[in-house]
Amino acid sequence: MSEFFDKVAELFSTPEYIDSLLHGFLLTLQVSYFAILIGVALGTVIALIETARKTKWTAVPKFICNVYTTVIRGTPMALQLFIMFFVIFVIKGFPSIIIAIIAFGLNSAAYTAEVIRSGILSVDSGQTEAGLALGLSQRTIFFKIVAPQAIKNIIPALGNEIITVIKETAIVSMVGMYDLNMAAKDIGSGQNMASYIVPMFTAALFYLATIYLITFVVKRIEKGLRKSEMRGAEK
Amino acid sequence: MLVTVGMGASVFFSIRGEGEVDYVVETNAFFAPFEFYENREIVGVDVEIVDRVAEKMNKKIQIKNAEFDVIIDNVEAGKIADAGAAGLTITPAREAKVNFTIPYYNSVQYVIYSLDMPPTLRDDHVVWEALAGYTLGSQIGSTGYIFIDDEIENGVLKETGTSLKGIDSHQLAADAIAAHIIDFAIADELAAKFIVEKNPGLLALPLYYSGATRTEDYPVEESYAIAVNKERAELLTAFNEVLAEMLTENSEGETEIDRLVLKYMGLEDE
Repeated sequence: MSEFFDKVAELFSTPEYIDSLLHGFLLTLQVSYFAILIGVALGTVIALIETARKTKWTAVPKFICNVYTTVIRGTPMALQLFIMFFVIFVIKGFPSIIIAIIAFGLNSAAYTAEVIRSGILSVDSGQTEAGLALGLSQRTIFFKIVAPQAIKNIIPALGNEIITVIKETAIVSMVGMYDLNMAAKDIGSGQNMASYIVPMFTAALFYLATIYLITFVVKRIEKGLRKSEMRGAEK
Repeated sequence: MLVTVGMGASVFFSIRGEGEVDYVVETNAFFAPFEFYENREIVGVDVEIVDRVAEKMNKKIQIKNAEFDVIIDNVEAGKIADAGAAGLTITPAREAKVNFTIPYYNSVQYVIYSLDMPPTLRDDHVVWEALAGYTLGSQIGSTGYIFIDDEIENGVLKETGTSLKGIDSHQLAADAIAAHIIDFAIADELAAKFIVEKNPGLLALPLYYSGATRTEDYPVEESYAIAVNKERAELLTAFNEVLAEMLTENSEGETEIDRLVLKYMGLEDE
């Protein structure tokens, strides 16, 4: 066990190792951040199409969105990443980070779409009907009645999706990208510490700290949104 | 909003300069002294060779990190990589897919084992037979992995209950010994030496084929070369020319490759 702590001390007292971890951490954040942005934007569009009323104009887009979420959610992320890198973006010298952001963004969109869709559907259709009966426009009903309530249900699940994306980006090291996971591999490799165990624990701490922070922020937002409710006030 | 701009700028700066390349050479940066990360830059003997070729051809060559076992296929396809410089051993199966340059380094396979559980030794080496019945591990797709697989399929380890586990890297294979996931790891000489030097609990000895007598045992040898896509004849020629130059012995009988190996192992005498 003392060997373990010696290695911990060695890692933290070597500036190059810390530097490598921070650089890897930055890449992890870059990929996750933009993937989540794409995910939320595209996911919202998909969710809106999926929850739209069925007309002859929405039938085809609805079908496409349905196939999209089925395929993306039904196949492993690692496989999607490989397909992006080795089948779709076969452009020499194309920046890996862009491919990774697109791969994770498209993946996250499918999950986010489901999160948003369930949020919208959680608002009872009776409220829409009531709005219509009062003569409100579809637009007003959505933005003033449905959306504010849906968001309350969406935020916690969305926070969960963000956490998943951040951790899942660890697989970009499989395509040779220098993320937090790769930094741990680098520090653990033969010419450095020659043992993976301690660098992996350290990388895990970085993930844990980031996710703790995100959980904290999401909880605060949730609390803010629930101010109008009794159960929110109790917490 | 501010975060988005900041992150966007950081991505922009990180990819600046990428994109405009003539050739891409793939490697797996966990194979010191041939290629490894130093302050997140890939350096090593193979990188020096590639740099020399870029200089000679006056082209921009990008070195890209990839998983070891996809390099040959990527080079064969030629779409995202033109060549692979990753201490690649020449094997018939690989030769069917890519063109190899002249060999530039000869290596032998080593067995890495724990002090607590050494294999049966024959003087200063281990023979394949001593590994029978154990769980062996090696970097997936590496020469060690291919050799073990061959021996289990139709060699001395056939029907001996020996099993093989493919592991992400040589290093993780070494960690797998301590974790009792495997009994012995097989790795290339220099990689094995790096690993045991930093891990007091591990030792490594060369792996031999057994001959008729002890003295006739012979090592499991291999030659490294650079893999080039079959349609990039000009790249193959340039690599071969550079390698021929670097393999020329100086007055002391030392080649530039030897010198670079020592340099990147941190053994260069100043």
